Amino acid sequence: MIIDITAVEIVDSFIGRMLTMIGSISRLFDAETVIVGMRPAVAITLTELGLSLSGVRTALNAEKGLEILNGKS
Amino acid sequence: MDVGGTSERMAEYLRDHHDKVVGRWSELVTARVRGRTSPDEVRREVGDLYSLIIRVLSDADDHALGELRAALDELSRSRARDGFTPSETALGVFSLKEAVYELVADTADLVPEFLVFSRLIDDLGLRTFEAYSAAREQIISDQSNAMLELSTPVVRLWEGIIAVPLVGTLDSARTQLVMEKLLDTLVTTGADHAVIDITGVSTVDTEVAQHLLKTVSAARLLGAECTISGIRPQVAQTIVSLGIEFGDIATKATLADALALALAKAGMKVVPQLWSGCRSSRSGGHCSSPSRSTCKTTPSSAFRRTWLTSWPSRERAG
Repeated sequence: MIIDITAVEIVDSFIGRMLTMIGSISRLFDAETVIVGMRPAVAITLTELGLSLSGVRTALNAEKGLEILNGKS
Repeated sequence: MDVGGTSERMAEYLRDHHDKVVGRWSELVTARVRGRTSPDEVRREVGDLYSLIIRVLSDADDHALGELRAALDELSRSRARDGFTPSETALGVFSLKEAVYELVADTADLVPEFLVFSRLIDDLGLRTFEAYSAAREQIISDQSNAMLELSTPVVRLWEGIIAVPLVGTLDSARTQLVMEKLLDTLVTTGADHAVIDITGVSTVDTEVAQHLLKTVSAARLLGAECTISGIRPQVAQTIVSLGIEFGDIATKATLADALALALAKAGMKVVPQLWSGCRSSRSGGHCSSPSRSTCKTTPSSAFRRTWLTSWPSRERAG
């Protein structure tokens, strides 16, 4: 599963937690989640909030996200 | 004592002796600046200030004081930029007092007028000093900003591999700048590997390590893998004795090692140039440098995409 957050400009701790939760829930179904297209400002905010989204894969863009998923299967 | 009346009388006096005072004042200022500003320019500046001072003293209009202050601020700023000392700048104003004093010294009936005038000049002198130091502060902060900009380059080492050579000390302001630049470059170049080289970082304490970890985890959120390189023996000792854990972040001794690791992860390897090429170009059977040492990087498979699908260690550590 790919979650594209290119259009997300503002994040808070709730969204960060939600993304992690989606990742862990989908892992229960044996599905891999890749979050793609995160903006630099969003990444800085999440880091400042102390959320490193551990357990969720990330990629620069949708193409690279697909590469990761293809590489897995 | 009627203060308004005295200052008006002083204004009258100054107006009457305009040419004499301006001439003497310009002379004094020109002698002080020692050829760094042309006499004509000094005369023009002094003339402008003089007529403003007369307007202030004669209470002609309310804007005169504001205009005079603005003119003095501008003058002090340009003096600060041209490298004059603060006392040279302030003495430029104080020498008006000297010029006027020379004139009124022999007329005893102008004492209260001269005192009012003197107080005004003192205020103006202080103001030039304040404006001068404000301008200097501005110059210093501009320069430190420029240095901050210069000191954080992000370079592209290879297709998909970028490097950030850090020099000096890492504080939170610089970390922020480095982080922003690194992430922006990751997005614009589409790189998926970043090398943070700390060869030039003099000391690594817990705060610096914290900043590094933050940068790495922000880059990871964008899907890029980070390697920290250039850890010198002393720095390594400090890191261990402080109990700093870099976790699963790859660290390398030199930038070259980090580049090799990044190339390996990207599925590239550095191989010596083919020997056959050397033989054809040289008469001898053996190949000597520099051809032999020239290496070229080739993808280890003809199609990178195909290779990626078959490579198991593509997973990120952790």
